[in-house]
Amino acid sequence: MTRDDELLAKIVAGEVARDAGAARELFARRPELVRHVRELERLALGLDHAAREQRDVLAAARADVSQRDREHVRAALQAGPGVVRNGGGRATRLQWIAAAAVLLLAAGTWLALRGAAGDGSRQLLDGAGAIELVGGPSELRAGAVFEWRGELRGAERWRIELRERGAGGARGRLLGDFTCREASWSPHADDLRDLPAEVLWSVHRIDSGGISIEHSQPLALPVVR
Amino acid sequence: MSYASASTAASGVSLHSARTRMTSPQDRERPAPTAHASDLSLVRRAASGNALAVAELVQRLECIPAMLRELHRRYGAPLASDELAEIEQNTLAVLWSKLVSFEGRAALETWSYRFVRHELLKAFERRDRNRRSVVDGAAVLARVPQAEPREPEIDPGVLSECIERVGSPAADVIRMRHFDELGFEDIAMRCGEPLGTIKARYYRGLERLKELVAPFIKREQG
Repeated sequence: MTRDDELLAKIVAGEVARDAGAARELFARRPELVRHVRELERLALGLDHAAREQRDVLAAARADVSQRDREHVRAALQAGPGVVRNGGGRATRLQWIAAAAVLLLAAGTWLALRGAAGDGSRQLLDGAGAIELVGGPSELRAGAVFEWRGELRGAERWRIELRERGAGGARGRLLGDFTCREASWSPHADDLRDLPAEVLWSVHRIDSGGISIEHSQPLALPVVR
Repeated sequence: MSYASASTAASGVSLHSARTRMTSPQDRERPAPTAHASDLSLVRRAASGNALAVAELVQRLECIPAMLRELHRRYGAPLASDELAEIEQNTLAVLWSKLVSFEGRAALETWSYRFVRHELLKAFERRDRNRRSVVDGAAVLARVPQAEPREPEIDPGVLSECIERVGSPAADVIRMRHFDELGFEDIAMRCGEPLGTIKARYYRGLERLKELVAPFIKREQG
């Protein structure tokens, strides 16, 4: 840092007053620095404002935490990919056993359904879907009504997922999702705008932490705009 | 607080831009000490499966949904409750996935606040983009609440993102000075650095921050 910079740093830090002799001499010699210091001070005020806003929001939030919030955060923390996946020996073993059981069940269902593939434009794909669809459209178009059977408990919701159809009907990338409380869903034209010619449609019952509890069989549907 | 300008800010600065791009060579010479070492330790213990640490982490961060609601309210509450619930889920998911990269440079709540705010502004932006075909600009503006009396020249969200880009250790000094409300002497003690070094870092940090926020100030004025 040059000597001028050092003095400027002291002025901005409030160690040297702007009307102190050294500061006045600097500003007389380099008047452009007056504006520079003003801008830095304005920036510091902006930082104070941002910090105050954050403190206010935090204080208000802390006073407004509900039991539901606690449950959501706890559920998300336990399900989150970044932390606390490995909760110790016994829990981890149980999780592995549960995961293996789910995989076996899924594989069994896949094999069972493989021989009974349906036909028509609306294609039921492989999968262990527990949510039963009621009729339902054979294509995804604006205004089409999808309905299913099931009840929500507490803070649960329905989540409709639209995914890319991968090779062999596999679930591909998530293209869009929608949540609702009613056991029916109807897309708007806007929802279809960026979709490919065919998508996989499925509905999930999710808990308050967004974890899927059960889901329907995925449907391969042509998108009609 | 204007959600329109804040939303612009959210799209203008990437949260995950190169943090050290603007860091000067002398700042890189030695790593900055961790300003919130106890928070970092808590996150690491929780990540390793320590049940007590997990419980404490949940307790510390249980205010996140309320934080989101409060920020949403301050932006004029433009979203429906189910949309807000969806953002809450996304925010929590993003937060947990990023928790492993927490470096203890800010308090856990401050660090989380940044994600909450960013996710909310992203949602505003998404919503505006989706509705562009059916809602005209005047209708959007009509939804935006009147500016608060203390409306700053620079959006707090822009500042927050730009501080990230200033990089450590100058950004750490700025955060400690303004967000943790520490005096320079306290910062020097916490960092184990001479007072003059801390003040110089603060000054250099402000100068870099000024360069980084300049385009946004111009955009808002233009």
